[in-house]
Amino acid sequence: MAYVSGPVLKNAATFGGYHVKSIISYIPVLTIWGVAGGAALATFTENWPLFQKTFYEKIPVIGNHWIKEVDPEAAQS
Amino acid sequence: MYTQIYNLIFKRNSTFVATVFASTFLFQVGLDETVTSWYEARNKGKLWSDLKPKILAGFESEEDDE
Repeated sequence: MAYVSGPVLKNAATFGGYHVKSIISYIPVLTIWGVAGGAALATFTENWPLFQKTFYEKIPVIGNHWIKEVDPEAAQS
Repeated sequence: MYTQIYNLIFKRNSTFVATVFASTFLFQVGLDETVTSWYEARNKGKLWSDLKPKILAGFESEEDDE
């Protein structure tokens, strides 16, 4: 019979001061927050020509909304 | 039904905020399209796109008269 002098304690693996398991458990909710942040960014850059040309014109179905073909004779100078 | 909506959208703040911003983005597009189509329907016949062929035809007939 071998006696154990005390409990065998081990430190859980950490990354940047946080437990790896708790980091992993946060991944789903942080992903959803990333989607929310992306949607917020899209909302506030909706009228920005650079973003319109780079991203929004390429969205299927609603992409035509940002493609504006103004008749040069109708354009105000 | 309501339970599904609750679990999908309202249960977590992250999904709620994501839904709010995504629907805002789509609503901006929808409102703009709706108002534009209403404006163009209400002013049909007065818009440049409607007048342009008439005006160009007028110019051509004036040239023919001379």
